[in-house]
Amino acid sequence: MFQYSLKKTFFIFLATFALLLTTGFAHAHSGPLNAIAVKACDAKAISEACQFEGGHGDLYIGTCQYMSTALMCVRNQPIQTIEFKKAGSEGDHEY
Amino acid sequence: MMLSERRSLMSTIAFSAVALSGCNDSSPESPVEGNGTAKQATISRGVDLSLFAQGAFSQAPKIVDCETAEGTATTCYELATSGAPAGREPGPFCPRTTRDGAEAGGAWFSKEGNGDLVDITGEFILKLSDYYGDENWLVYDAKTNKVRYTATKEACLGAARPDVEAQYQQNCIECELSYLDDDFSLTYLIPVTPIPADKPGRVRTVGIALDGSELAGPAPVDAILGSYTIAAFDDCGGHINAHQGYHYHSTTGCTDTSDKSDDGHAALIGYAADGYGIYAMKDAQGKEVPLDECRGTTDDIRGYHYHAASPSENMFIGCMHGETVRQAGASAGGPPEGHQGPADGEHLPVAE
Repeated sequence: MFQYSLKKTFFIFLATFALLLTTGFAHAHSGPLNAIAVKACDAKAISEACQFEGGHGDLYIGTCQYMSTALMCVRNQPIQTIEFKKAGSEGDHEY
Repeated sequence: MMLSERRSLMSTIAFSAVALSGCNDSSPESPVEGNGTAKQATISRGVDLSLFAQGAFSQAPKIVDCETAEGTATTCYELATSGAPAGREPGPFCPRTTRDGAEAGGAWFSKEGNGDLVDITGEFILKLSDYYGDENWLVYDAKTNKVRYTATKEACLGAARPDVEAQYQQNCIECELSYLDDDFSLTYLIPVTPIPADKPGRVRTVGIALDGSELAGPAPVDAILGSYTIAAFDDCGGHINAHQGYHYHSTTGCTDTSDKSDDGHAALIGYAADGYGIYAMKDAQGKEVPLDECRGTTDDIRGYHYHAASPSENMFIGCMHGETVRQAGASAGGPPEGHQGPADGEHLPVAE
């Protein structure tokens, strides 16, 4: 019974993590930065907080603003560096 | 429910709550001046015409009566420009062969966006497939190693638009000032005294640089790249089209005022359509300051003012803090606020 509940807890943790990673955080390498900034405001309202990850572990934090017709994450904080580095991320950026 | 299961459930809920609140903590601070407080503490010096480059205007600036989009009657500077940056020739934009170095080409948004633009070298053109992870890119002739670029006015007109004509896909796009109509002119109406808006407005045309060129809204990167084209900038972060003339999508220092402030503040690059100054991103020490949601802030010397984003972020500012002038008869697809251009408006409706 204890093992069963441990497994269940593990999966709930996993699901929670996945949910957190997909809701408020857009990542680089899925396209141009501009597209990532737009993606970061998916399903968000104007002035709502947003953030996304640029290249080299840069973190962009701001709010969603309309740029013509699309909501886009407009950075209003100095660019920050994400402390952790993902394995394999080095060497991906030739330009 | 067993005690152990209940504990597991509770700890999961507790973890989720902590994690979620952590997300909130990492989100930005509330804007310095939110929607409801926009009218507070927004002194501004307004446009200082003496800071513009010689030759920035095609006619002597005038002060005229105007009305903002919000209905405020006021006076505006009427600034007419020729669509050319004062004091320099734009370019180069596209390299000619895949062997060309950085001096032969201009620049483009870095995919990583960590500051500077990326040089459009011959090698960059050669490796576009790798850069964008799409093997369909081929902006050069594989036999001759010549870069495909828009070498004529016809090609420029067919390519420098959101619906790139099929024959101009797989091209590096560049245009010349000589392609502009002989009577080409842009007119900006900018409030003499900035008027803080009740709520921030959308950015369309951002404003005017100190060399008289337009500070444009974001380039429609998806449409550009989706057509396998590069709308090449020169090293100053601008390019030319038939409707806006030479215009900037990023600032790399070419329009910075030469007047250095005593307090080490960032250099002025131009003015927004609402009359507030736009300054470079970083101060003399290379530092940025936290900004409000429009990318603005206030100090005793400059009053309310903006700071431009980094060159590869494809924007200057986030929203309009002040009221802007909508041209008579303008509709959603018409000339943007604070800017009166040719009748058919912008070539790229997504604020290009």
